[in-house]
Amino acid sequence: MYDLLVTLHVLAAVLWVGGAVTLHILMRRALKLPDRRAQHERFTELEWLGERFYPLFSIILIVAAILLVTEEEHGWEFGDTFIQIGLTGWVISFLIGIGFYGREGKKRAELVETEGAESPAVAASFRRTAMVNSFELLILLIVVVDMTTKPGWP
Amino acid sequence: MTGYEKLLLTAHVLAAVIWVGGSVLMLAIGYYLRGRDLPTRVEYTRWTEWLAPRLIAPMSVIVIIAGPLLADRLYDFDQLWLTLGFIGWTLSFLIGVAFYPREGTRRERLIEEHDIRHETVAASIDRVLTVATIDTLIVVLVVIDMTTKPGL
Repeated sequence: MYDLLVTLHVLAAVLWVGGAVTLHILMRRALKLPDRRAQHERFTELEWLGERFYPLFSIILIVAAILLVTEEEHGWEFGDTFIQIGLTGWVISFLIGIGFYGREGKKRAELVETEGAESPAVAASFRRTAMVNSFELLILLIVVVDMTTKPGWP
Repeated sequence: MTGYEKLLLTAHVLAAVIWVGGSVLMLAIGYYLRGRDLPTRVEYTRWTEWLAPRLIAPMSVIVIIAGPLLADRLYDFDQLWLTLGFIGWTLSFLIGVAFYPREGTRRERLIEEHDIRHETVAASIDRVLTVATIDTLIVVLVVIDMTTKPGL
């Protein structure tokens, strides 16, 4: 059971964080396209994939993590520093996910309808999304380092 | 674990995360765009061919430097899970240097000779997708191997 849970946890983390880093770089590249329509198409495609992949991996990761901690044989507890840091990072990412991306996406869809895909306001929305995504990525990478080095764990 | 060992482990894990997660993401985009027009698929494939040597290759080098340095201090090199990891890395490396750049060059020549919508260009993109699927499967299996450490 331990092997299965830890594999699920690690694979979900790899797919989530590594994929998010790559997606972010591709999004930044899309933002550099001179043609605003092409920029809109590429960014929206990448965002579409991100919205479908990462919530799933984030849920698999947290469920496997909770089950791993509740398995008593390894002596991990929710009060351990590295677990608290990890949970905090996950919660921040979750809040950004439900509090920012969804709303920003809706707002942008309305802008596209009213002003068109080539509107500067749409481009500004893409830049805002990329900036918030940078912050979220930083948190996720810190959590990976935290989970690897396990501060506070003997 | 000493500070140096933690540093090596962090470098190894972070690089592996970015390498494998990035490979899966690029493969997913490739499949997602499979039904789209050929110019879009070619453009996307060019993007991945731009990104791979700048992100994926350096990460795989960090993995193979930090991994053995760490294993040298903590494990024996004849352990099964380490052997499997080395085999997986080597296979992915060989695919990376022997297939992707050549296929990219060949495809650009085909585009020049024929047209971006030519069937040989589509065949080239499909070939990249097939090889990338095998390559990605190998590195995902290595992650499972490194996590479960069979034989340890």
